[in-house]
Amino acid sequence: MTVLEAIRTPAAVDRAGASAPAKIEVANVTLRYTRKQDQSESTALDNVSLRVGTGEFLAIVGPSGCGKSTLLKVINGLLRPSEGSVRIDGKPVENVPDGVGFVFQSDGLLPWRTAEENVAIGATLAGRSATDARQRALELLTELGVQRAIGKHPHELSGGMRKRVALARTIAYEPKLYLLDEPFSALDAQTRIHVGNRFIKTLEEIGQTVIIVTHDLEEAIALADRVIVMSAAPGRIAAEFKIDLPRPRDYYQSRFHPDFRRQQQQLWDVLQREMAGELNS
Amino acid sequence: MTALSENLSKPVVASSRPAASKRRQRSWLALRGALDRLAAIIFMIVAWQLAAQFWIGEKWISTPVKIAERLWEMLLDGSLQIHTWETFKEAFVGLLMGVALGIVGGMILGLSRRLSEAIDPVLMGIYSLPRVSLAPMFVIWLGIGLLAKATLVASMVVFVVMLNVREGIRSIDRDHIDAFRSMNASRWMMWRHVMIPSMIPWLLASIRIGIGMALVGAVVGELIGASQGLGWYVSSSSSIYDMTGAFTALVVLMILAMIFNFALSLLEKRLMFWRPSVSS
Repeated sequence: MTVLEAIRTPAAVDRAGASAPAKIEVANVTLRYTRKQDQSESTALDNVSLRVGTGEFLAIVGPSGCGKSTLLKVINGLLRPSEGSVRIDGKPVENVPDGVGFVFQSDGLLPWRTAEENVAIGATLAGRSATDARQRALELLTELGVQRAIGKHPHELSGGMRKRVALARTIAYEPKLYLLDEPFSALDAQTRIHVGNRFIKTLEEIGQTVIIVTHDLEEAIALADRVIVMSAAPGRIAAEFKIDLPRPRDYYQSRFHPDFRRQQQQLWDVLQREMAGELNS
Repeated sequence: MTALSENLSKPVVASSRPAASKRRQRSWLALRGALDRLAAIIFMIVAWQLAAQFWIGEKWISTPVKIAERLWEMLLDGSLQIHTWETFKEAFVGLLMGVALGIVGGMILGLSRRLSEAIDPVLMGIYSLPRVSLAPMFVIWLGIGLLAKATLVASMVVFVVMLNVREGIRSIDRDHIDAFRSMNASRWMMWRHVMIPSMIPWLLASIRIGIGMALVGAVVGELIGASQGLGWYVSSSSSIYDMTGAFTALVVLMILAMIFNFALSLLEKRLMFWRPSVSS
């Protein structure tokens, strides 16, 4: 996979997890917003602190509406926290920082552009010339196994193909940090395995820091080096768990690894204790 | 890669390819639709002819045959071209003015919610005002030439375009904006790739409504004060009980409207290829 190896970083060689130098530091972030309908104030994130190592693959799990997507947007600088701060590579995030790629829950592809034009936009924004960007788009689509998408508009593609085109666009932007917001939630079970595998293989290959948000605990364990569980609204970090399954991983097969069940059981124990504590307080 | 995922990629492809029989069925449906439309037109013309001859009387509603004869005469003496060109110019120039102003106004209102909310009551007030009632003033201010009528047309078209463009900007997919913002795209990139393309369906819809309004505006303008044009021809024919003349001008107006709409449909096909529903 020559195309992807080109953007591989030394940090990727050792996925050292939290012990590596910090890529992201989220310190005491609280985000409150005023609801449009009744002007009442809601808290989306409540005093969230979090540290992500360079090259780490972190999964954030939580029930819907717990603010996990909001947290990603805060890290990307798309939303400004009411309190607290976010630092990427030690620099405080004020506006949108460079080198952060976001894969949205809806694929976010422009319906009026073909697959390769959509991907080329990412490459253009990474500073490539128009012809270079187009070339790059074709390479990436081939690399991700969606050559068939070339020349087609998003409405002509299946959900799984659109996801891969969206990932290609993000890769084309050459980020040093990938933020994935429930990238597989809209896919059916079979497509999810197929696309999930493409994603994990590609992201392992690129070796950059990744944060994936999901509501699927098994998916989180299968993919990540570390899983953070968030509580229901207001979003707080309820539990944190290190996963030491061997890499390279497989989106589906990893779940049959003997350590998987053990880790899932341990995580579940932590969660139950956490939930019990919540009910008593 | 596992065997499982390899196999999974195949069924997806097969189902996304439309079958040849489906395509044949679609072209048959298109042909049948065209024949239906032709039949409807012929039916109406025949019904009109019969009603005029045996029921209502030719002196009230003329007849298709007489209208056809008049069209031929007017074509030969050149008056058809003069009147049609005059009305076309008024409607077209006015439409362009209205659309251009509407786009600019709609963009400003779409981007500034505060401004939009501040002037909304006034805007809706003017929008609800029958703009036709402004016609005499335009004639006083701008004379009886092209400019007065085009301005009247523009005053009718501008609000529909403005309100639509505003709505178009407000309803842009949040994820598209966030995707571009997250990649630190410039304002220009956002406009070029997201804002303007998102707006186009709304703009085209408003132009479709605007075409009808433009012809109303042009004709009303000519009724108030003019020396040529299809509206003027209707009123001057009516004043001497020349029903054939009045209906001839109306038929030409109708054809003009159809041409405008057809041109817009071509534009829609070019600009909205990415929308699966438009082709039907």
